[in-house]
Amino acid sequence: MKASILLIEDNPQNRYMITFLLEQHGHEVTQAESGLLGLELAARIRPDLILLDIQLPGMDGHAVAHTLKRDPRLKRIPIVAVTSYAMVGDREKSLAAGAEGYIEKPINPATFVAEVERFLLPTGNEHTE
Amino acid sequence: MTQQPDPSPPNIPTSADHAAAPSWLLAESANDYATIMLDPAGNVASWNLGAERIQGYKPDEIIGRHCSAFYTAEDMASGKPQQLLNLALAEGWCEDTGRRRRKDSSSFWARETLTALRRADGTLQGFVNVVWDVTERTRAEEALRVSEARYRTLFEYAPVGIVIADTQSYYVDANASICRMLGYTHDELIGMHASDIVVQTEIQHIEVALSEINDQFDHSREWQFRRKDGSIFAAEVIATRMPDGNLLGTIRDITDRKRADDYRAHLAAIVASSSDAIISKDLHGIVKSWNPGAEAVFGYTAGEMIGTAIARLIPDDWQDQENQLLGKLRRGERVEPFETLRQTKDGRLIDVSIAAAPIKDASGQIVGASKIARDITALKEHEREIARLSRLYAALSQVNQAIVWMPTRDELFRNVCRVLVEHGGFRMAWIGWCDSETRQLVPVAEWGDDRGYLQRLSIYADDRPAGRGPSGLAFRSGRPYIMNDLLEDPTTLPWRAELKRCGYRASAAFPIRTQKEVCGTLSVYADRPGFFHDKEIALLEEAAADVSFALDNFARDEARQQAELTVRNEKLFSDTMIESMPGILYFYDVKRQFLRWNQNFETISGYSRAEVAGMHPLDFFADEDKPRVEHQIAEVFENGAASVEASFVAKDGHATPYFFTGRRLLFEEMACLVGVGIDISERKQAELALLSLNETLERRVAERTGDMQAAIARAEAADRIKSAFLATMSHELRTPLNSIIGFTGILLQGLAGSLNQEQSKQLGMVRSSGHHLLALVNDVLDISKIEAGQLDVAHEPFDLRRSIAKVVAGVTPQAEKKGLRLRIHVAPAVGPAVGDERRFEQILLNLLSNAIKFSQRGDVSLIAELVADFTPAGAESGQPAVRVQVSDTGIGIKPEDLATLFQPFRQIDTGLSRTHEGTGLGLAICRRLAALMGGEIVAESVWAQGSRFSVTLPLKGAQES
Repeated sequence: MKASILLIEDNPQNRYMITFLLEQHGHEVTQAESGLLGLELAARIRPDLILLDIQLPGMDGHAVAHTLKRDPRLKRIPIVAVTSYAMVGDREKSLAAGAEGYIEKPINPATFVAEVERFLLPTGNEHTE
Repeated sequence: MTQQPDPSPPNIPTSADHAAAPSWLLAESANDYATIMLDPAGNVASWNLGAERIQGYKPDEIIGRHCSAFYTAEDMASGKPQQLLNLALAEGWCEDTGRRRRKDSSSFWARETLTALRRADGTLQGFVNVVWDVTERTRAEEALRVSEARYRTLFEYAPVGIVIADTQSYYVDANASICRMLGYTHDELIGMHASDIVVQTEIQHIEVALSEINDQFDHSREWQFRRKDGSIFAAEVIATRMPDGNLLGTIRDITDRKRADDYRAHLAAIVASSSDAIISKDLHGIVKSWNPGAEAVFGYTAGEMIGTAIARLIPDDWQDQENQLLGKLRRGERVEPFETLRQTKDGRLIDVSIAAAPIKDASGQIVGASKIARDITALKEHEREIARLSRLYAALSQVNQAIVWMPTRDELFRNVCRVLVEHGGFRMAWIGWCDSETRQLVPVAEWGDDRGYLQRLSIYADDRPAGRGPSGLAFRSGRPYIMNDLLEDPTTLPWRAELKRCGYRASAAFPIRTQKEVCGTLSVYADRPGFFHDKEIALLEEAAADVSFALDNFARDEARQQAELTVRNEKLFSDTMIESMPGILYFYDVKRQFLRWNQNFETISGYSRAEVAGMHPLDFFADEDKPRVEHQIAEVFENGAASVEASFVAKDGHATPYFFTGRRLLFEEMACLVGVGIDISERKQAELALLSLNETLERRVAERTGDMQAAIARAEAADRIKSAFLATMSHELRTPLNSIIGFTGILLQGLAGSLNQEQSKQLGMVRSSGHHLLALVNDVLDISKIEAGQLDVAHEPFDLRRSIAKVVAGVTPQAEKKGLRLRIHVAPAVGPAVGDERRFEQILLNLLSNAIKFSQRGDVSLIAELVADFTPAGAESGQPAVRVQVSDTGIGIKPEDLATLFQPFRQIDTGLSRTHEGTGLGLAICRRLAALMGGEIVAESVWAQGSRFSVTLPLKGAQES
């Protein structure tokens, strides 16, 4: 199943890497380098899933997840948080803010896409209608 | 008398019916019975041979005579035979049985029939009278009747239950007894089956019983019956087959017999279990029965005693008494309990209480006696002891009297000895006093039968053979010393002859103290062994203690006199001291009334003795000082002590700086103040100088304090910077590494195009270095955060079992790669916990990775179990915890390295660091994490054999502090 995935990540190399991996598997990736831009893009393209870096400059990932989950149009989109080696409570904070999943950096290229796809909803959302 | 025949009586046989009757009757007549024809008037018309044989008349003697000749006077008086003739006329025929007369006037039992004979026209022709001699039959019937009645009576009134049953065991008859036993009426019982009246469990036995009877055996057995009301009783049944085929059963209720058996068994049990001797004997004194109690009391077994004379139990002196006792019993008299002596098998004489009663046989004849004997030796001994104790109590009371009344020690001692001998029943008593020079116990008082014993005695207070008697031992040990058998005690050997000569058999000695020091002994001698029991000893000890008390009193009197002298000396001393003091000294009460002061006070103040006596303490101070001084005076009265500095103003107005100290003192039950004043003019000068010095110092301290505060603020700022730095670094250091690792992975996977073998190998090295560097960075950041107090641990529920499984799964490939066996044991109770799941896993991963890393072969094992009561360092109470032990068979750790194992950057360097890459931070982090979670890690190791790391974490996480 090809999905539309929004990637919110400030580090260009990470953006490239994740996009590369997801596209290898046929997914369509939209990139946002900041939280604010991510919110804007999410509202516009209504992706099937959002990959969200937590340590973003300015508006951080928790705030982004929180905002997304408050928006009735976007709240059904699964969010998977991606962050460096877990700080205490990161996962809990992310999940509390509304993220459905959590993937730790450094990502394992061999398993990363499968981990992400696990969080895709079985049937499409508004986007595929 | 002739009655007209009824023309057509209904049931009367007609003449046609009887036409042939006479010939028929005659044909039958032979001589078995009489056949007599009567005319209508009742006169005999014909007479056959049977009649002649039965009744004795010849035909010519009787024909023509009236038939009444055959009847007895009684029968004729009652209307026979006319009555019978009339009946035959009316009914056609009649029958009668009764006595009839023969010709010789003898009588016989007869049965006769009388039939009226009518002609064809119905007129009466006569009567046919047939008579049978039934004497024999009647007799047999009578006998049968009597027998029947007898049988019936027996049947009905037999005390045993009797039933008659058919072959199937259904009852056809039952007597009153069995009805009574079972509670059924006769009618109810008839038709019932055996199974209806026995208990359920017996039903199975009925068939067996029936087959026994069918085999011609009598059946005899005890059966359990059930009454109509459901109650149950036991009965003995004997059943047999009767000639007519029916079954006869007799049923005897044996409840009473069982009860009697029980009673006998009960009685036997009482006899067997009684601790009293219960004996029966015949009139010659031969023992017939002997219970265990008797064996216990006298020592002889039943086998030894039964059949032998009871006299062997009786001491010679008491045989007469026994004979008298037997005499009484022969006369059938009971013997009420009396006390006497008996001899046991081992020759002891014991006190017994004996009661006896005659035994009669069924005919009432006296055949023997039963005897109950109770061993009352202990009781008698007790009575004797009470008597002895009473004497001792009396003696003790006398001792106390002596203590009260005797003015001197020696008189007291002599009286105590006298009282003990005269009232206490001792043979001799003496008091020894220790001579401080010779160290000998010297008799200072004695009473009783001495026979020069004491003169020959020398007892040393120290340990030599002559001091090992009771007195010497009591003196040295300070405790009572008892010898209850002087002649048997080995220590008395040296003077045993003396003891024998004087008749002393037991002795006790008690220490006498003055001022708690043992100074002497009180010794008493008794003329028989075993005299001293606990109570006697206690009483004598009390006597000795009372004497000690009295001595203390004597001593106290002396001490008081001594004390008075001391007080006089003390006063002289203090008076001298008060006057010789350089300062002023004074003493006033709570009303500020001066009571006493020293000469200096008058000299310095310039007031005379009389003036001071009338002044107030505040009169000696300037007005501005008065409130302060008064406040301190009040302080003394309130809290016990105070001091004040103030100028002491003399009569001439001259003021001198003084330092006053006051103390509260209870004097003649009144609070008073004792004060001392010291001239501090010189000290005041010195203080002024000191004050200026102090001010300088304080200024400097203030300056330094400011510097310190600034430094602290700087340090705090630095801390904040450090935190920010750490947060930034943890992100910044890792981000590029994540890229390196990620892209290397992508390339290695061939996602960006295929690689040749060399490229793959080199990229593999890049990825491995990247992972290592990331681990280093993570460790450095972790330890930094911990050191900076920046690391928090979560406090959330998680599943230990799942975490362990996860970590184990993670390291399994590593272990397999090295050919190591992983042995995992997780106790069933290990499950939910509260804490930081990731940190727990981090610790576990670290320990397991180390174990695998440092083992070349063998096993790595993990054991997880719960600890009920884990008390971490610094905690006050224990709590439940989980303990995970990771053991390996690796190189181990040297003892000297164990101490530094958990310090940061201390990877143990044995030249192996190249083979065991790591930051050297892992264990330091683990230990700190464990501590943050309220737990601990302990390492044990044997060099070259392996190591074991135990991590223990409270199940409920770190307790909030």
